[in-house]
Amino acid sequence: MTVKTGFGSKLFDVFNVLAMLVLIVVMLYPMVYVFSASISDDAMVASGQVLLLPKAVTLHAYESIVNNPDVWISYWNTVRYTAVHTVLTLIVTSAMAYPLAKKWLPGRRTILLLAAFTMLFSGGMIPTFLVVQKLGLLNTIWAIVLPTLVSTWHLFIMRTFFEALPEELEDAATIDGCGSLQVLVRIVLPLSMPVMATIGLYTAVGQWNAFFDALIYLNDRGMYPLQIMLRNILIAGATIQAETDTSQLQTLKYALIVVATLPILCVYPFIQKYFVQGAMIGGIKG
Amino acid sequence: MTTPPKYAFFTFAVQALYSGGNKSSTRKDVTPGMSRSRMSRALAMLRKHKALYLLMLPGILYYLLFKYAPMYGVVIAFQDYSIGRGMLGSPFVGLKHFEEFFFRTPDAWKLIRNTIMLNVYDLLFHFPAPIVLALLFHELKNRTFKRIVQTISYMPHFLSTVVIAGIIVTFLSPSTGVINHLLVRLFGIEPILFLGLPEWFRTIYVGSEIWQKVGWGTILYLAAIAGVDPTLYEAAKIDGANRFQQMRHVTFVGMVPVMIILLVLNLGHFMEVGFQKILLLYNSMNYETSDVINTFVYRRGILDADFSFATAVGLFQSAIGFVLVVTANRIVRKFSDTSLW
Amino acid sequence: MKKRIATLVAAIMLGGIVAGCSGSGAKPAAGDPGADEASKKPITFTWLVYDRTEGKVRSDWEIFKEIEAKTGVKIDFQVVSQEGLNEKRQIMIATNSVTDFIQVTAQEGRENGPEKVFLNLKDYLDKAPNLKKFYETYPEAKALATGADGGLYTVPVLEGDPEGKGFNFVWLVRKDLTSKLNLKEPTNPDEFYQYLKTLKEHYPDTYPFSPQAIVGDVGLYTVIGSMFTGIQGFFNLNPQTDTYAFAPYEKGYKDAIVFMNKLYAEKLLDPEYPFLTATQWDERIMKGKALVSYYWKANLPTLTENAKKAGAPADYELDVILPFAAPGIKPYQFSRALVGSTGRAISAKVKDKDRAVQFLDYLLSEEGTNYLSLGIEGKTYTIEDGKPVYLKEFGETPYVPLRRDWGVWYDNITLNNAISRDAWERGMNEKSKAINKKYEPYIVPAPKAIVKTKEELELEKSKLNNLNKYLEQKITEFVTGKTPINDTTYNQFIEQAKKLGSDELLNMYNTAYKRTYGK
Repeated sequence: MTVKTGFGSKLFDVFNVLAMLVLIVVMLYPMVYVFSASISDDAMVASGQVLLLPKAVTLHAYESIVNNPDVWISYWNTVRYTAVHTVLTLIVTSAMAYPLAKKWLPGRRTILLLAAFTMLFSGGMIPTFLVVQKLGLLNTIWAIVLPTLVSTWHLFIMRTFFEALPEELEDAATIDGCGSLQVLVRIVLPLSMPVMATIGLYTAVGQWNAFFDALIYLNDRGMYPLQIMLRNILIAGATIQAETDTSQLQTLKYALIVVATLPILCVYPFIQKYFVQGAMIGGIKG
Repeated sequence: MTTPPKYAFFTFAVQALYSGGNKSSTRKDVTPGMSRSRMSRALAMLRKHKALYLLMLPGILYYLLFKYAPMYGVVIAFQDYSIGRGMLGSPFVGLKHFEEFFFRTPDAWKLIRNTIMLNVYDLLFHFPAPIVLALLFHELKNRTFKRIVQTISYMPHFLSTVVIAGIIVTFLSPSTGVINHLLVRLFGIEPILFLGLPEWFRTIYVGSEIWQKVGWGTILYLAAIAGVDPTLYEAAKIDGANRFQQMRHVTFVGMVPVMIILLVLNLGHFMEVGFQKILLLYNSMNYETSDVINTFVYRRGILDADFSFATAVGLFQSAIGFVLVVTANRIVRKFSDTSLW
Repeated sequence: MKKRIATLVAAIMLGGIVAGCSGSGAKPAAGDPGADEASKKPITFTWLVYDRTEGKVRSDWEIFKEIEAKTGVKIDFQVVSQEGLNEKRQIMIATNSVTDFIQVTAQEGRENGPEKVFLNLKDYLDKAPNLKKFYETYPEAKALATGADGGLYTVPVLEGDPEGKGFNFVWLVRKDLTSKLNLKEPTNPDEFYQYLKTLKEHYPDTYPFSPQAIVGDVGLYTVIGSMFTGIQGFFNLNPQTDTYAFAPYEKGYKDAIVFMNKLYAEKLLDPEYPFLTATQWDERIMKGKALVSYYWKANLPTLTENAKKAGAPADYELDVILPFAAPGIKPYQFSRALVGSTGRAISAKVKDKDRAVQFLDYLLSEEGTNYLSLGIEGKTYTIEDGKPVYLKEFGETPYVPLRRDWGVWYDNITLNNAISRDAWERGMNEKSKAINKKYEPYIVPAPKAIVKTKEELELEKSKLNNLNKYLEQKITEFVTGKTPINDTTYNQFIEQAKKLGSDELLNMYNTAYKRTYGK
């Protein structure tokens, strides 16, 4: 027996749709601008004549990026690092979060407190570098993956999710003879696909855009990820030296943004469905 | 190191409330013979749940190695650190840098005030924005339209600060900016020098934050909403609730635990404000409201790589943040089931 | 927090890169290219460098092949991106794992050299005649390279010519428009005011004068301040008296502020000047919304070219006008600094110290310097009238092919930018040469770099930054009319500056300057 939709409700719908349309325009505009600027002639961009549509179309910037073999090598590196990092992070974080979800576990509060502490206090760039160096990880993929393996935010999130799962499920599994690890893998994780997908996405996006760690821990050019390669092509910062080739600088800047961001933007809509659907699974009791 | 996502996934806190699962388990293994010493009880616990502790081991190892081992680095806040001399060789100077910041910086209190005010504005306006937007998204009837709008709303999140700041400056320019064009044409008023007026800075800053991050921020809340037990809506309808009342009493209430957790976590950064954007938007006309702690430290560092000073100030900011988080957590624990620890 | 410190440090690099323009070439120390023939065994040295936009670092550049043939040294380039070069260098220094050859700031060299991070070149001077001659010829370089323990740790890169002729900045105007109006070049501020006023009358939609920045080399306050006081910037050397001065203390400074306020009030000065971005400024010049400015000389041709491509009228022309000043003040511009603030250092841990020093010595010789700064005769440059000039086919911006294909004039590799600039300017088109000639009488040799003690650095660190911010803020208030300009307010302004330490800083600069150059 549904409540009849009143006038107020209909008005609200109209307003909502209008608001969304405004939102689309406002949010979409910068992306359109960036894209247009990336295929417009530099002089046009620099003189502010590119407002919405590209002017004096040139694919020069993309050509120079695509023809640069370093870019492709670094793309592959980034994919590699992202995949390994994400998988490992999910494993280690969930393994740590699961026991912490048991409110009766001794030492739980201490561990959580100590983890939270690290969110705000940190030793800094040089001491961390020394640790990585002493462990012999320099110039390897592990220097990229390990120092940021567990994010405390994600840890708290996962833990909270695990807390919410009904105990009856786990008890049933334990009675059937499963050890903690098996409970985790067989029962808890399959029910947690949404949070795993989410944190996986956050980790992946973070790693995709990361460049600082790679910069200080890697020496070998063949190991550089995308972000470093892109910065190599572009002079960062606003200060331009007197003698610098600035002839295609503006266009190049925007093309680089497109090249760096496009893959993630394309991947995202596919993952989107997990976030909405999966959550409903949690509503199942017992 | 990646910046932690501000809006993380707390669907699950919601499920805890709505699926009615018992949260506080009373599973305490009370072993008979209470006269056992604490030590052996602890060992017994360890043995009994060794699987659980083993599971945590890799994570704990990570924290020890990569977070706590380098922690000694904070000592440089109390030294005159020189990279060549290292930590053992650099002279110890106690609270000198803190003194410099608090007592010898002419505008220290102004910097702190600006930092706090920006965060207050942020909490007042930026924090609720994704909540409101999530509700609006949820109420959209057409699923395809909803998907499209959502995806588009996430896009600004991926643009870098530099690009966003460039767009802002262009838009707000009195001579060439769109906003002023509209103001002059539609309302006939003089162009406003937005970026030159201190009173506008907070609005511009928080406004641009909302624009950039509101879409991405809704993800979390949408997941929370999706986790709401559908039977609750049925029950509400039966009780005669109209659409708006349902929104208020079911949907919104479902997002509350998430909001609590996020609020507490955000308080940890109350003394900091991302300085990159401010660096690109502030200028000699609006220093009064735009100069914050971090921009000051940044400028100070230009003359020399002064790690010590930056670390000292950062330490101060973190300490305040930590106190706020602990306090907030305690308060929250009294009033709700959701808390950090 | 890491990121913050890191980004904070990144700015130093931007500040540390000294750009400059031309001048007659500084002759490198002539001497034997390689000392001992015996040690020509092959050896490899690591070398930190960053990729430039013009072209990335290549291992097969011809000049290095020739260098290897002549010295037996192969260079293994370790490449990073410019963004983050600073952090990388910091880490290397902190962990004492710098590459064999590395470019560092003179400050870093002085501080960390005694900590055994860099090789003390002083110990090897007898075996390195070119190096010895270098320090003798350039006492400024020697001063900059000397650490607290008296050792020499860096070879500062030469930026400007010893005669102090090369310079960077010019007043630029829209020549096409000013000639249409038959405007005469202004010779003092009042005439400048009339100049701008006339432009505004004929082109009311424009802001005739639009500076690109408010402080710094091309800053509004710098250039107008100098016009009325003869001091470039807030703290700088007064070339007439050879002492440091603080511009706001000078007699004419208040007039400078009044003048700027007048320009602002009458809309002759761009009202958005305090927050104009570089991009916006480019737009204004190219679209003709700004007609007069003060900027890097080297960008003139690019700006003109871009403007034309963007649709400017065919007769669009940017040209220069001479510097001018208030009556009683001599207009001038500092030349490029002779010695830059960065230099080459050798790691203290390099395997074959003698060989490394020898190699550095070779690079300082005429032959070595020519390779790094000019290239290969016949392939990248020719000798005309006894002086090197880059090949004509390289065009107006020879540094593009030079860096991309040859590794010549490459930042962090070359030791002498002055020679390169000189060759470049000799090959420029007539117009650019004319500009140089025009400005020649106004160029004054740049102040020599000062070496400060630890306490002096502390003072600077803790006070200069705050003082600068206050000055920027207050002067902007005066100029934009937010605060009226009268004796009371101006005195308050000076009082506050004193409270923030302007006196102490001024004394410090003078003391340090005298001490560094033994006056």
